[in-house]
Amino acid sequence: MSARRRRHAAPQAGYTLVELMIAVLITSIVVGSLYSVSKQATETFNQQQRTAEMQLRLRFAMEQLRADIARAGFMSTPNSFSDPRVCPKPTTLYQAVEVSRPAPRIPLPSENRFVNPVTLRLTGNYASVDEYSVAGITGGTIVLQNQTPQWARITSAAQFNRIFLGGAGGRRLLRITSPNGQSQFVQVIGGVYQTASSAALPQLLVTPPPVLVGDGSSGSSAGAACGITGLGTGSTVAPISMVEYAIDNISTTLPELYSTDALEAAAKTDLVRREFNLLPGPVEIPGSARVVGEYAVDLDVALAIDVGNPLGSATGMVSMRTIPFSDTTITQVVGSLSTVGTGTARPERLRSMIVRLSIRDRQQDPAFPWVARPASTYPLTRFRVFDDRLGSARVRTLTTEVAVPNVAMRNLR
Amino acid sequence: MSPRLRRRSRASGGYTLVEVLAALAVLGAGLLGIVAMQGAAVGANQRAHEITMATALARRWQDRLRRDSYQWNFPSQANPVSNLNNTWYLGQLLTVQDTNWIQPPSRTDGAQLVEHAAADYFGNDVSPISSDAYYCVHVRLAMLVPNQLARAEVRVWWYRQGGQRPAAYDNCGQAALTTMGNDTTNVRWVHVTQLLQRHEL
Repeated sequence: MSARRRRHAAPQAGYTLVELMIAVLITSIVVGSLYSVSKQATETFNQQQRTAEMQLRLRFAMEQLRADIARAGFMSTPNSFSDPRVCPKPTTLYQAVEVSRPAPRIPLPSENRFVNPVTLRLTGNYASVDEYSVAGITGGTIVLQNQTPQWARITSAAQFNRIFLGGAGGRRLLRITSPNGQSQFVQVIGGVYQTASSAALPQLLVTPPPVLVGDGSSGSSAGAACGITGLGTGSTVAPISMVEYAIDNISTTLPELYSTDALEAAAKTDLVRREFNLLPGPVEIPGSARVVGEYAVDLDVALAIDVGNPLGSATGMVSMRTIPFSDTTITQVVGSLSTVGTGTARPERLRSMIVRLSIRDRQQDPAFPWVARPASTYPLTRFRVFDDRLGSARVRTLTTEVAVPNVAMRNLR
Repeated sequence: MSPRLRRRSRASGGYTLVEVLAALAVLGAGLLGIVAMQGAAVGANQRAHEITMATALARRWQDRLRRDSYQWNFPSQANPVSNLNNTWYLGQLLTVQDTNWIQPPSRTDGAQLVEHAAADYFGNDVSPISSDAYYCVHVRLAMLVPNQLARAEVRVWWYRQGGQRPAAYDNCGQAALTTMGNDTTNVRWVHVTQLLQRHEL
């Protein structure tokens, strides 16, 4: 009997209901905690990934900004009005650095207090690293030398067009510097490219015709002594253009950089770099807009300026002055010359620019609570992208200082 | 013997304690790995952020000194007296050829921008004796060609996570300026060097 029972019992061996329920309970606890750990790990991983990406974006944007700011005024002038070497003076004023604080191009939720980015405009030779030697000037035609190492670096008509015309149909501003140290600005309206080995010389057509010494009657501001010596031989020319940085949204021109979600795309702001030709007023070069820093939310500048001590004044008189971030008096130094008036804005006093750029996480994190900034001095660490959604986006800010050697070199105050 | 064994094994069914422990150990190791990975990612990002901020600060000081050198104009033919003391930071070179490591003095310009030899976690200037100081700046100036050319070195340091904080390093290392440069166990460093020329008027 016992043997039969055993045989009978064996197939039935198993778990009781209680055992089973305990097993199910334990399994669900284990699986549940595994799930929550892996979910949290994934979230942290994603967030850290976004943070690393944000820091990288910030660094790259800052590098580009530094390079362009350090080049402001390169082969140009800090302020064409006050620079004694600019003669005759152009009727349109050119300035190496211009800072304005227009109304935001992209309206953001008003909870983001004290976010009021500047627009930065830099003028100089942004098209090449060379000045090109002139063989002679006849009327509105500038004949260039092609047997120079500088010319040897221009190897195609396309490159010639890019440097001197700023693209097809474009017109660069051209600075001509005479051996007497004076320079003047004219407009390139065309050109003929020749290789370095060609017998025919390359030409630039400009308007108005450059003023030569002795042309005083043509309305030059400093009389007959003002202008280019000889027939231009020994002068150099450099193409001048303008670069602009602004917090903007260019989803219409570069839609591939924006989300397909209309709300997301509209809320995204970037640090956008544009190039302009000066005709003589700024005209954007088509297709030049570039996103330099994605998800940039704020750009501000402070200044170090030289107010100047007269030559021979007692030593120990420090003439360095500064203008802090978000200060309105900044326009008195680097505001637009044409609107502030020649008497107030003094961009030639700039010695270095302190730049602060803030870039946000590409997502608003529901778990990162929104706290409004109590004061403008409080660092921008959170940004509200959508005021009808939970949380806020993390923000990273980098501050750097960029000396402007090309402005300082002229020593104008 | 074999029936007994069979019986026993059938009665006990399921896993032995050792099997369960082994399984738990494997599971635990996996979970620990995930947790450690998170910690490593957070730590790496934190370090990357610190290095970015310190590098930006070092370059910022580099350009501060460069901007300062624009105020160093004399002696020249017109004015034989050096005006190095018109500068904010380079004045010490008037009396010494090589300053060794120094903490640049805090400069204020009225109610304007304030410059300090330290920065808080966000990279804003704070006093070196402030408790908010996270990154500290030291500079070393050396006159290479008298009245013409100087070398300016900048170093930025901050504490390693978990590093010791020797008392001598308080207030941005004011008391250990010359000695702490060898310490790479407790602090991290960013070094930059540049040449500054007298700015001819």
